[in-house]
Amino acid sequence: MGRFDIDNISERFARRLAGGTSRRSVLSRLGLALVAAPVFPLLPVERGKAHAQAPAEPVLSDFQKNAQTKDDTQCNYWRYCAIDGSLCTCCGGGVHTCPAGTQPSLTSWVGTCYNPDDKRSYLIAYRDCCGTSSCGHCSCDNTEEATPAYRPQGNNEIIWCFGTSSMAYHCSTAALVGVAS
Amino acid sequence: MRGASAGLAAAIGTAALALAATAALAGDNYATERKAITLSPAQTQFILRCGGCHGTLGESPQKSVPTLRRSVGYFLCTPEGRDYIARLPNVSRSPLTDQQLTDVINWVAFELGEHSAPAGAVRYTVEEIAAARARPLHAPALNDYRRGIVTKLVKSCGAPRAMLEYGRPRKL
Repeated sequence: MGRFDIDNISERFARRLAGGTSRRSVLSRLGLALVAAPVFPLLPVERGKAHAQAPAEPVLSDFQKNAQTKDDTQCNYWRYCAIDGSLCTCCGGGVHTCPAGTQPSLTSWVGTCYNPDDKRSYLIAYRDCCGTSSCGHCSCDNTEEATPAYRPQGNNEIIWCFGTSSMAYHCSTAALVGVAS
Repeated sequence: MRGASAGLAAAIGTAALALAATAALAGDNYATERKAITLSPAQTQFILRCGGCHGTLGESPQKSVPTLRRSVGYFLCTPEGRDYIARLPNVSRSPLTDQQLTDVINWVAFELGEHSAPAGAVRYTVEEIAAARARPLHAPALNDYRRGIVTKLVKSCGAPRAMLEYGRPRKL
């Protein structure tokens, strides 16, 4: 029999444990643990993770803070975040339709606008309606993400009538292309 | 406009435009938002950075802007064509990372271009795009340079003659 007789040691340990603890004490400790657990709901690590999973509140721009989703004849309608010109909704057209007698441009510039209702960002194509003189009503100039004219694909001062029979600008629409990702 | 957009939708037959046309007919802006498709990151960047002029569906007025849909893949038929589209000023200088630009150009060449890329064409790698960006095209006569490349694509690769429309002098 060696000095480290594992059988003997474990037997003595088990007997001492059995003699020193009652079933009740095990139950009471277990109960205490169950009651106390919700008081310490999350370890700091878990809490950090939980915070990261919560949807982060986006930092809103000035336009986004005042944007509304009801009236598409106002400059602060959410889709107009980067429009420059007359709103077609004030000129006999719609938010994505040209007034009668004008031709929708085949080119446009595209911006990203934030919808405050569903909190998603959408790609919006600002398609100009061309072919007759300027409508002149409801002039707006919003410049979210606009770029200088030497980056024309992001510039809203350009008359986007390329591809139509006339370069005469009438008004601008804001067609929704899809959800950005 | 409504008739025109419905007709175009039928011609192109894509889900995106079909949805837009449906919403236009319904006249309900909220329906448009509910039904809006979620674009992939590469498609989002394409529409945002290129889709204004080239068309959100790659359909553009051929004489003003080269049409990409069902066409752009032909450039991958020749080494100089493949090199050309990666080094174009607004491609190589786009405000995208090398990885993003690689994803966008592959999406444009192989998805938007549909079957215009030759059967054996391989996708651009990030290294290839990084190298192309380091030497952007700044040929002063870019339209002439393009015409040389496209003429060869039409002759040798079966590219449509319409690709030669861009940059052709207008009758005044």
